[in-house]
Amino acid sequence: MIELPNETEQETERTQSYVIFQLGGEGYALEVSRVQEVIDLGHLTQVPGGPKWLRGVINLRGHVVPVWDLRIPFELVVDPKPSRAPCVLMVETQVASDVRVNGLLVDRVSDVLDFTPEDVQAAPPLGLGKASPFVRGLIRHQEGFLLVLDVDRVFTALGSTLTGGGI
Amino acid sequence: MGAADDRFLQMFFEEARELLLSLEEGLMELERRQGDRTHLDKTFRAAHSIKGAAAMVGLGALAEFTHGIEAVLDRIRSGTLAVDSDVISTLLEARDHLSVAVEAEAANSPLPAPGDLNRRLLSLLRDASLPDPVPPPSASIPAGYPAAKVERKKPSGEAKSKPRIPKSKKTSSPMDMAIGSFAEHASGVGYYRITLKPGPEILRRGVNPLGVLDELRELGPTRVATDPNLVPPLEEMDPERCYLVWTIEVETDATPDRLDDVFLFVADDSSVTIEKRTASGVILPPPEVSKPALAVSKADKVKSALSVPSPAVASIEPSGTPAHSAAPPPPPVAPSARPSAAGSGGAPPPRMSTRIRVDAGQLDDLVGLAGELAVLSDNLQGVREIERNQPWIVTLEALDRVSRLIRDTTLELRMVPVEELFSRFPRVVRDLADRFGKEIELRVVGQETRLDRTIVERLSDPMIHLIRNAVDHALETPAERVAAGKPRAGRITLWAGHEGDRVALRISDDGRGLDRDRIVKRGIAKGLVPVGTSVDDPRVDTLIFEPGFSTRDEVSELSGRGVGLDVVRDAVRGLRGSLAVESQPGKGTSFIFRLPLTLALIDGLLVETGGGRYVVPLAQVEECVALNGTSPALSRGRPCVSIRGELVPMVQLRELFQAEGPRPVRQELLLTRHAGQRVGVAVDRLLGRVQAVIQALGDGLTKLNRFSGATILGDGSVSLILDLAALVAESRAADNHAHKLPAGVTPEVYR
Repeated sequence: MIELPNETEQETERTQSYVIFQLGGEGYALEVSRVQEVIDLGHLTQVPGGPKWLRGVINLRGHVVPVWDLRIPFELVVDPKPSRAPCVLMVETQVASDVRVNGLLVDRVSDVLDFTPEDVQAAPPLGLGKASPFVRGLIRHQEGFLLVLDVDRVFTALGSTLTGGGI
Repeated sequence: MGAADDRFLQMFFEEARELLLSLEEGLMELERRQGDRTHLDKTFRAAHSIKGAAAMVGLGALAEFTHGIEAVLDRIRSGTLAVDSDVISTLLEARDHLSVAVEAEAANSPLPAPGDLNRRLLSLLRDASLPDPVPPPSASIPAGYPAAKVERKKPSGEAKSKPRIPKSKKTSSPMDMAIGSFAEHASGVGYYRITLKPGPEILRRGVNPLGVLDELRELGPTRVATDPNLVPPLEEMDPERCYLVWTIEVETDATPDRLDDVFLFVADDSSVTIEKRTASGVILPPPEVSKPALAVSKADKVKSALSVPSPAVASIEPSGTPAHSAAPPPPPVAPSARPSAAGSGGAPPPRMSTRIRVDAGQLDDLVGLAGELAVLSDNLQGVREIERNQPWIVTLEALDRVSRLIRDTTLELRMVPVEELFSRFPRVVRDLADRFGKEIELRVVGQETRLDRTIVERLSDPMIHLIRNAVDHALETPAERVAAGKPRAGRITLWAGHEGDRVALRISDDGRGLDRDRIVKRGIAKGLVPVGTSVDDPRVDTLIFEPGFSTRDEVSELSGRGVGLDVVRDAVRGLRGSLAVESQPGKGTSFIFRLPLTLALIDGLLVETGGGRYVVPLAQVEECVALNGTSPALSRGRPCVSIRGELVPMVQLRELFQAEGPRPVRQELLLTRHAGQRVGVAVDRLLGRVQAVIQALGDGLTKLNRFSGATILGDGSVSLILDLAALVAESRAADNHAHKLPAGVTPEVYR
């Protein structure tokens, strides 16, 4: 945690740290507490017949973990030749009462920043495209906005389409 | 404190479940092993242990009910109650009630009403005690005392039969325990002086030594004394430590055995000396008394000697110490040994097999870790190829050996003897035989065979299903059997053993066998087999595993709840096993489960297709043949090949997986069996054999059905495990759906 003078201690308690990452040209934010680690994308084993947004499974220190690409359900641009290798956020997700670890493929992790609840605005009902149902709010940051991702909802909603997808 | 209480409660529930099992086993055998004292003692101890443990954690109602069971067993033990089928039935029912009550406590739900069980238990005690048909020898019952005892016993016994709604939390023991032993062994009143010196750790273990005192009071008039000087000043006192030593004088007609049993729970970490006194008050010298009733655990001797720092040793201490030295050394093999029963002739106490309880989750983690270790070692082995003759090669080989050992050992931890499964069935068979008016002899063979604990757990229901079928349908009534020239009693045999690298479990009966005529008729009616199928067709027997197939027109209470053999078969398949049936008319039927030794590890073939590597369970592959591109038996688009003259339908894995790139000229065909037919699955290349530690795929991916899991290969990459049966089914479903192929290319035609 960042050292702060005493007066703002109360403030510190209320702030929440977010991992800021880029996905298809957009900035996203996700609570730090939900992110276990960030790894470079290594060898991916593809799953024939799996849903399109499942990029494959990886070996995370002996555990087989699926890696998902949100750019596909969110219909974002996928850079076919990225200048730098994408990385994977290992996130804890909870579907029903089941806690699992899933990998989220992102273009780049840029920062970890603190925001207070007041910094987070409600998301507009329209205008965010396919990502709308999974955005919990917006944070104004630098020149633009960061979209606060609701990963539980992502996996709950998209989990049901897992089998329907095909290739 | 609350957490600690909770932990003790959890420990109690676990222990109670185990004890209930051994109580059931004991009761089942009781009738057959009449006169087997050791067995009776063991059964009695199970009940006694439950009672004591329940009282210690404050579950008074449970303790009280168990007391009734224990008292009946004590009657049997003292020879005043003859064992017959009714007694056993009552005891078994009482045990069942107790089991339900324990689960109710565990789930924090209201206790079930015991119904008339209390009354029936009581009547067993009364029958025996009132007429007192066989007065035990040397029954020099002192006047006054037993009479008073009987007077006291009756009303409290009546009170017991009233359902107790509120469960008294703390063992307010005068209430629960002083209800009076239903049956004391009338071998004359003895005066005992007992020194109870609990170990310093006893309170931390959650044992309440006062429970012992209460139980002694139950046996007869007692005088309890202790030396408060042993307690240190408040500031030095450890509140979780027991400082006190009690001297109890008890006047009782209980046997030394019974006295020993009182100390069952404290014997492990306390020192107990029991000295018999003559009526005149002279204490007999220890050597003579030490034999019947004395129990000191070796460890405690040392512990208690070291851990009493106070030099002001109580006055009783000296008398205790010589008694220690006179005690026969406890058997060194059983550190948790209970007081050895006087009657068991010096045999080691019949403790249940040395078992450890392991958290299943931890165990699974350990298996995973160990598998990972072996994988790491594989990685290093790969590095070895590069630099030869380095000194670290030795280390590497050791690492390899060790990691494999760890894996094997931890896998072994998952294994339990099938006895855990089979031990439930004598009871099931007994109950069913009663209900259907059949006589059944159950034989169990090979129950030491070990199997993955998950398999053992999940096989219980399928096996009970088959046993019910055997009792209900397959075995004839005694009259029918005699008429057919068979022994009156039908026989069911449970057999377990190894078949290659699999474990086979067999449930056989010597009943009437499968009714093939009826099965064929039914199969034709349901459109499962072509009209005109012969009764001798080998497919007939397997029809009974088809969904919704039942030859019974009427639904019987037990066997026909709409659950068919297909459910059994599916359950076995879910465990990567198979289910087969063999039957001879008039001679009997056998169901054979064939199961993998463990679920965590499979032998597999590593194959490559379209650039991806996959593991195929070896158990699913019957044969591999080379496919050199020239052998399609029919025209293109009809995927069939000729294997030694047999036309075999084929699934191209490349096509199913929509792999890109040209198909290699030479492929390999894995031959598997689907719905009794040979089917080939074509893959690009065989890479070798692997032993794979299976990991489950996430929820979403298991719905895919093609893969039964994933594993991590030696190079650290993930490989998916193919389920050939599911792949073939998927491919066939796709074919049928597309209506592309003429109907003739379904596998059935090419038999």
